[in-house]
Amino acid sequence: MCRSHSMDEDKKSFGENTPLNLNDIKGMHFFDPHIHMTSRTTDDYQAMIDAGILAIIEPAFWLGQPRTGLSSFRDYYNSLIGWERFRSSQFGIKHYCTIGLNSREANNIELAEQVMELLPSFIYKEGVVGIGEIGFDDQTPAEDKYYRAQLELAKEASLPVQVHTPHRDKKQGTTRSMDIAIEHGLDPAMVIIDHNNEETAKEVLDRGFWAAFTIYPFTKMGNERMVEMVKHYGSERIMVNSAADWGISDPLAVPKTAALMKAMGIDAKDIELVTYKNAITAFAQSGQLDENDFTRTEIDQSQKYEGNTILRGGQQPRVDKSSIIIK
Amino acid sequence: MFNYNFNTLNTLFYSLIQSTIDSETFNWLQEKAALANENGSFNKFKIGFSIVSRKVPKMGIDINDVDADAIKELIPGFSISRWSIKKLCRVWLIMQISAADRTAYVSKIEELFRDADMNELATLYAALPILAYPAHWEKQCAVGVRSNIGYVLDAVIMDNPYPAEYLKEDAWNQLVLKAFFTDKDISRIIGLEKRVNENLVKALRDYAEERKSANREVSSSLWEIVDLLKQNH
Repeated sequence: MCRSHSMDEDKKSFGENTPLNLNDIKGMHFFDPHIHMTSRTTDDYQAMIDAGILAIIEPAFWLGQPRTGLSSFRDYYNSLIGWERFRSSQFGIKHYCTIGLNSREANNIELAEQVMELLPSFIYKEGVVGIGEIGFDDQTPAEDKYYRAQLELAKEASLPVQVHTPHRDKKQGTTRSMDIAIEHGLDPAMVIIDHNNEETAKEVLDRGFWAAFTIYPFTKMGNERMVEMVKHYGSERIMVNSAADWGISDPLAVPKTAALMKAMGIDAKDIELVTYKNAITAFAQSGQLDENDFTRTEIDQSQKYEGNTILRGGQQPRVDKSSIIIK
Repeated sequence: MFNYNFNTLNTLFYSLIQSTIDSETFNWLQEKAALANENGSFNKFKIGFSIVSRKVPKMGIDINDVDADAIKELIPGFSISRWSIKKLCRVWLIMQISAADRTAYVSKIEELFRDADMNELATLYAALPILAYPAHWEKQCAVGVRSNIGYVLDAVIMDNPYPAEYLKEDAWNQLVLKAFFTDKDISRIIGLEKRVNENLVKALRDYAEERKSANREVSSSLWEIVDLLKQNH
């Protein structure tokens, strides 16, 4: 569902149409705990590392249309711990993932049963920092059943849970997601409730869960609203993400939000918590995420390695996209 | 079943591991090994194989010259001096899978390959020289050459005596070509001299021409391989 969104609206809300100035966020580091890189290009990876994103989490989700067999799930999970993880590393970004049966495809019960049997083979792999993204979509009995089953799995594996909250009937769906997590004996501190907004934030925070906010054009949070959230609630247990996927979304949502927060006077410590540290703390509970593993070296683009343009440390060679020349 | 003295290598690995990791971790490892052949426990074994990366500390192997030479005696061209202790533990675990029933053994190893993450895959390919029924893994090795993932490709192509021994000529040639395409250290490919052939040299010459036309450089090691063919004649 689309609304028209004019440049005039931009100017109304924040004066001039303001581009991201990388100098404003120079020296800051970011972590995006919810981004679907399988659907993004290398241009995005390049822009992300330039903007200071050091590490990301890619939740397991659907592919835009329903999968029809178990192999499709297996191959996808394999790509999250394999090819996509490697692709990310080539740009200096540390890639983690959460593995799970998403809410949409939980409705294919025959397949869902098989996926539940498959999950234990993947949740203990390197790079897996949680069960996700699971939860409700339409709030059907099937979604309920497999949400509960995966909560149990998360408990058994001592993994954090990344909960997708529904886009329709969100307030009730979020409350219900939390109720069920508590019912199954999950510690709220191990559960990250995602895609929050002004209607859900209070309860999520009051009940001791992590509150993630997705900064995504038109359909989810905007970052000016996010500034207001942090001014109101502070930074405890709050994190932002882009949930960038194949739709109109922005893989730089996290650094842009940081830049906006800085411009709007939010304290540097709070910005760091909300755009970097809190997400790390939450998912490091898996025992599989260590900040020391992130690449921090400044990359000198003029350096060559053994006479060719592959930069030191396996960084990808820089392509000048504005040039008509390709070689 | 094995083309080398399995018992000697197994014992050597066992004592190396025992002298490197603490007793609690060593006991854990042995518990997981016991699941390799127990009915209905292979899924648990696979999980154990994965969890080695968390249980075993991150460090290299301290191998003395005597043991290193002994390993080269057992399997020519094979060396573990670059391996981490995690890798060695995983390879030792694989060696505990009974090879008595060929079908069961092959199926288990193939399952490990199928569900492997990057480090597990690199381990499995590095372990090709020690697997039972060595000729069977030729196809899997060729699949490994097609990998896009740097660490995995390195494990197949470099410091690995298996490809030169078992890959068919076409697949071997693809391995060498890909090594050039992906800027690998050619000196670490084992068996170049043994397996050099006319088709490979022709393809390499064509590749050099292609690079020249594109104003791109060609590694000098390409011409060293071409020379090998002349020497062999």
